[in-house]
Amino acid sequence: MSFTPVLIFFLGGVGMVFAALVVSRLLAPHRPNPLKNTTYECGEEPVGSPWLRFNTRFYVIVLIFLIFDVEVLFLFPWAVNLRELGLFAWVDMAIFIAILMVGLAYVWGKGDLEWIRPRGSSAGSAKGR
Amino acid sequence: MTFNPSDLWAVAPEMVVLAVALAVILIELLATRREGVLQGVAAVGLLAVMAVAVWSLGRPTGAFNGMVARDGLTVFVKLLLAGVALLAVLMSRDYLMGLDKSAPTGVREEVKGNPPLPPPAIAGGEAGVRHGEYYALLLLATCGMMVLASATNLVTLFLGIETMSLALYVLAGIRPERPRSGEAALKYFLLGAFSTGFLLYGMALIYGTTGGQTNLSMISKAVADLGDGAPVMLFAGVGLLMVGLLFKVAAVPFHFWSPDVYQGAPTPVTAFMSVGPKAAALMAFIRLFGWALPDLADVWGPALWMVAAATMTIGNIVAIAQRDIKRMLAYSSIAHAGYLLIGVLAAGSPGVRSAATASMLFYLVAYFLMNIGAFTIAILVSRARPDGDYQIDDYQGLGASHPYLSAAMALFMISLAGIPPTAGFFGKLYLFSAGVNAGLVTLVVIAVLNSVISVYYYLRIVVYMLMRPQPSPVEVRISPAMTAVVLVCVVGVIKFGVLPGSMMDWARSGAENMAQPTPQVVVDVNDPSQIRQSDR
Repeated sequence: MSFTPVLIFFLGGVGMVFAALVVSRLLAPHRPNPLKNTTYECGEEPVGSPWLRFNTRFYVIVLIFLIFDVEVLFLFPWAVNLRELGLFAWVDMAIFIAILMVGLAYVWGKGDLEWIRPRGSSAGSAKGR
Repeated sequence: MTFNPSDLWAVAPEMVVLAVALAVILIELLATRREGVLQGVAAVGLLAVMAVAVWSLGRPTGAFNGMVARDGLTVFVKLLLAGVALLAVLMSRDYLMGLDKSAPTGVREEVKGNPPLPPPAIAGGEAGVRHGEYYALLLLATCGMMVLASATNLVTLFLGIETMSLALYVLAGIRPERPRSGEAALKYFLLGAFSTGFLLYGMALIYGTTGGQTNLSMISKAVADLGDGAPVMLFAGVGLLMVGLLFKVAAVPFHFWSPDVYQGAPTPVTAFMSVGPKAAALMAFIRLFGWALPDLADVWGPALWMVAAATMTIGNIVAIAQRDIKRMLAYSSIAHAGYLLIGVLAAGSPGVRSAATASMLFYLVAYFLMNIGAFTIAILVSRARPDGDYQIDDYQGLGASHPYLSAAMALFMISLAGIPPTAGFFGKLYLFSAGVNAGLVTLVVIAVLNSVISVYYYLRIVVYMLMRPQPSPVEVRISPAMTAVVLVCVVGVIKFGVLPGSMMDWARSGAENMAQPTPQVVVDVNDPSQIRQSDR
């Protein structure tokens, strides 16, 4: 069956992860101390519990980032094959990007890309001056 | 695999819907004084969609290498979906404007021990809904439903379901100031994502057991070739696919989300959600089970039979206990999904396939008119209350103070119960006779008994309106747009209840003008050279 290479690849990938863990366990020296066991926060001393409420803004920014990240994912195979695909594919992709641009213009215009949003601007827009 | 420009006709309605949605977003961004403009653009855009849908009608054929169908059935369903969206748009503006006025001003809680947060993205100061977002999401959901209804490939089917669902998840939770709306959105999203998992797993199993086919007619052919040697894995795939679709039509036992979501979502969205996704998912059902997999009817038939019987019985019995009209209509819509599944089952027997499909189309039209009408009146009555609640008790004595409104509501209730001379009666008549012709006599008897049960809770509203004294005077304000929606529904329910022939003829010609396209280029996954060629 033609999917056998996929299965082998998958098993190989999973196997590599476990192999790395096992080898590290066997070979690495294991000398813990309190400082080593603290959470790594870029050299800062950790303060308080990490179980705090994160600002939802992070989530919004990540979502917007993700959309354009995926867009690039689509652009790569298209760009590689553009010469053979011709004008049709070019128009196709132009429409796709135009749709995403409308979305970008919307979040930009509505101030969703500002980290600290000026107060009142959005309340005004919701009521529709 | 060359591109054929006439293929674009198959998706012309979807393209127009998408364009209108983008226009709505841009108007929201650029224009001031935009509520009326937005509603107008959305409404006119949907009329254009209907025109394009009619225009795109032609010889039944497929498009995009068998990805979607271009035939009478899809045009009929696309017209229906555009109609549902149009009425939802018409009733939305008053609802949203009412929210803007009554919405509380920002209440922000400071969490102890945390640095003060910048103003949150959605909650707080920004009470109310951005109308442009609302209409755009409504239109995008419609676009997804249209793709779903015309899908003849598992891939497009999935694409349609997800486009529709993602927009609906957001719409259900579009009122951030209301906890119940958030609850509805979260429940719908989590369970919906779960059901998508079932759907995809089912598709994967079917793909695997049919030798790498995703096109419905190729699957049909592969299943026929397998004959009695079909592996159990194929049956499991069909079952999982059925679970995913049954979730979307809110059939028992996959219905638990629907009353909470219907209650929590903004009412125009609920009205939209109770008809649109059902119609689209049932069309996918018909194409998949009726046309592509009738050979397996003795596998999925008994399961669907039990689901249909349980759906109508539980939906109707639980509806009796409801005190909230939105929940009551939610359970009633579960029950109607059960009736409609009779049509899917009947379509499994080749002799009555077209007749069963046509009767489902007619039933969907009737259900669309009476249900949207009932929800519109529910909005009007609830807005007469200071807290905007949806209690059934509010209808007490409404007949004396608002005779026309009550008459319309009574008509919708009678039609939902299936009593002549209304569209609901003929819908049931056609559907049940298709069921009897397909030999589903026991199921039809259960359905008729259920209709009798349903008369109790539908007519309770009528009794409340006409025979109870009014506890306190209510003032129902009716705007022109709402009047238009109610009038369209009233005229439709009476017209198709007295003279159902014309609509039934359309439904019949739609069901007979049906394409199950096959791909012109078949990629054999076992032949690497062929994959290369089709990639290029």
